[in-house]
Amino acid sequence: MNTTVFSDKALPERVYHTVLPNGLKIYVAEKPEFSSFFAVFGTKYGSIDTCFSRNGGEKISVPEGIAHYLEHKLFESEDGDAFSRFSETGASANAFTSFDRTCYLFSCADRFYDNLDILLDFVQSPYFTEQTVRKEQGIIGQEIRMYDDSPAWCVLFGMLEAMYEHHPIKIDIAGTVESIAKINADLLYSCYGTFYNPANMFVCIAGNVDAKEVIKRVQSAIKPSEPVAINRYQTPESDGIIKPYTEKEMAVAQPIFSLGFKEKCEGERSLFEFICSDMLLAAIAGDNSPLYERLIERGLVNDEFEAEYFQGNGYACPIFQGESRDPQAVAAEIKSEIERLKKEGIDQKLFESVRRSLYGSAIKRYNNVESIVMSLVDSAMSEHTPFEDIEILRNVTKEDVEARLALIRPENAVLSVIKPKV
Amino acid sequence: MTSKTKLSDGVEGLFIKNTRFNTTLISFNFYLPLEAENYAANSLLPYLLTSCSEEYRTFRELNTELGNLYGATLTAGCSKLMDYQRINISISVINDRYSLDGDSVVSRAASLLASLIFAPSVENCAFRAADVEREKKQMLDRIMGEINDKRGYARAKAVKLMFGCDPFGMPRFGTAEDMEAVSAQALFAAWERMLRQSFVRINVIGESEQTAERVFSAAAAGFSAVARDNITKFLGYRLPALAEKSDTTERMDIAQGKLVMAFTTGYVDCERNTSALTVMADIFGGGPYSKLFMNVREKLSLCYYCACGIVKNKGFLLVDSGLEEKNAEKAKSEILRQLKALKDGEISDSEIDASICSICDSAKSVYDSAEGINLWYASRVFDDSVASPQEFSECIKKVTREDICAAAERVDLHTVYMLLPQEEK
Repeated sequence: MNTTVFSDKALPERVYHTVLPNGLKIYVAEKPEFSSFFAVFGTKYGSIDTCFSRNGGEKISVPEGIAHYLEHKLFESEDGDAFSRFSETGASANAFTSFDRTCYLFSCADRFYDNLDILLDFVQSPYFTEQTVRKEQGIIGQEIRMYDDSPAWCVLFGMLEAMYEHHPIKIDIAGTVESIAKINADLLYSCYGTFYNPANMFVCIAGNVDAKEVIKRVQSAIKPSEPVAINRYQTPESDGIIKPYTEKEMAVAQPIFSLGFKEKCEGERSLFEFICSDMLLAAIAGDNSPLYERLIERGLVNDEFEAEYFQGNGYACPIFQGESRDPQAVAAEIKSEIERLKKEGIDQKLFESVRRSLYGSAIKRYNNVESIVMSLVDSAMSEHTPFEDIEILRNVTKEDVEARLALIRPENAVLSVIKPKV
Repeated sequence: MTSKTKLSDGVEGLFIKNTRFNTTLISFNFYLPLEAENYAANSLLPYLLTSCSEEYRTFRELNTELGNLYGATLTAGCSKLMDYQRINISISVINDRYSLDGDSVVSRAASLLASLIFAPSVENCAFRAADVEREKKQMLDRIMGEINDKRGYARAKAVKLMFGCDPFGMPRFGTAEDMEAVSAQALFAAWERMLRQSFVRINVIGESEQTAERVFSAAAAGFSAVARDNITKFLGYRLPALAEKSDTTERMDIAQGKLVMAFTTGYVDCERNTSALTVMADIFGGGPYSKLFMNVREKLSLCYYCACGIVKNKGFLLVDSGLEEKNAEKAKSEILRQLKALKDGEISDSEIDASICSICDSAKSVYDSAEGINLWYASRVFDDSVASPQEFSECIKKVTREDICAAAERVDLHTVYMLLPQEEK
């Protein structure tokens, strides 16, 4: 078992990485001056994994929201729940499920190894009964209801539904009250048995630790398991969109919008591609872009306006979102700015300011154990190495960024609007 | 290591040496009396000051400089602290050694911040009309947009109902009417008042004493040109005069109901004397070991969240939950039942241990975040009975079951506010 050490010429940081014989990936960042520790035990399994097979067996389709449901239920075991174990150590424990991953985590300033033992143990100890599964329906039902009242959430999913015909990215991470009613203990065990095997999982840690000691500790706590071959099935997605405009009414002060451009995408974007697209969005709509200045001066957007490059397995789209009295006018301005940049290119000074800004953000990430661990999780999910983004930002050129403009096609734009209910 | 320097009458510089970070944080905190008539102008002022200046005439010029300073983060904020309004303007920038060309980015960021505060873009004793209109529109959007976050909206509503005429009940940024009425001249007066009358605390969190000294001497020079008078002083802790007890329901087009219960804590005092209240509120509705989480969520499955937050120096705590209308009464009864259990001493050793352990663990982590350190010290300018997170933990560790019961005994339900979906016709 080899351990690789990653570093960057500008930073004093070291990240240790190894892969256990069973396939579990481990990343450890030593932060000797810090009081707090942060740890994630995660799996490459999220809301979009709704259709799969195990070890070449038959194709299984599961109810929407099951990955998130499983996350809730994993905190319970036969002899009590993980929260009560963490309450004895003072750690703050939590978990989250996103489109492509489920992560269990804790932060603490004391008793790190005790907390690590709890984390590694409860994630490897599923215990579901029909009764405990039923109990969670009320709790998760209310979590879903909470998101039903979130305009930012609703405007995003409105856009995704109008953009993707088949891709499960358009499904709410927690599912619906109806879909979660179909979840039972057997289905949870089936998903657990498929996706919670070490070869599909990762442990990422930052804090005042000895990396070699941590790796040893993790290795000894991982239970033996048979390798599992996972096949994920996705219905091929067309290049086009379903409809260019969608709206919904909610109790909001003024319209909220999300404008996305569906890009052709098979598999995932590389880190280099992601950074170039991210920089492009900052050049189009960032704080010091001509477009942002124009929109603010005309009173068309406020400081909630932002752009994000949204991508994962089989989907990619730049998204511009914000609040506006006239979302159509904002959408027209964004499209015309994109066309202008396609003709004239990005201003060199603006490019440099954006590059430095993103470089600074990458440096700042190492100020905080949580943000370090979250970036290590990205490394574990996407196969890129820690610090790779910093090196890319040193060398990226204006032409690299401008090349991403060709992927943004106006005919693939979807505008989603939440209008105030009158 | 912390060191405090007096820079002028009512102006302090606090250097908190911390070599953990790749950045330096410089934060100016101005404290003025919380007064309804100045509230809206004071709220808008930091946003206006951080949008442009004499040197950077447009926000695009300013943002370009921030980008060139490796994405230096400029933040503006305004918050209520007891009977005071805190205006905050901060900048966080990467340390010089990380710049790509050896540039002195920290000095540049420090000068930029000082120029925004001491040399704004003004003419004829007023801010420029276009800048004021732009920032007012942004602020009105923020105020109107508070309704978008139903949980925050419901909590603010409960506080407003509880505090009645006390300015602490004002919405976070003030009312839309007051904001509409703020003029370019009133903002100029607010800026002058901020420089002349506020108590000022400048926090520098970073690795270099020299940087702190430079920031402090630039600030001292800035304030030497200001006629400081009528400087804000701490007038002691006082229990607010609250509105009558009330129970209010509002309906809106929403999917999930929100229940907020506001309780009085019976006393306000320095931090050293409110440790028991901190632990009591945490056992009531802090972490997943708390009574509200264990019972309202886990046992009765009524909600996703049911939590308790405390504002010790204003003498109240808020419990809130998101739930179905049909479960609201059941949840309310259970919340009160759990409070009664605390009053009756039905508290296990493990609950007390879990709570103390969790509070102390969080306190120990304060030094791992520059923003956390800044907030810690900026929130305690009037109360140095507990100077550091370590001292705070020492006080918390001494809390006993009897202390917790006594603190719970003084807690009394004052305001209930429910935001519910429209009734079906």
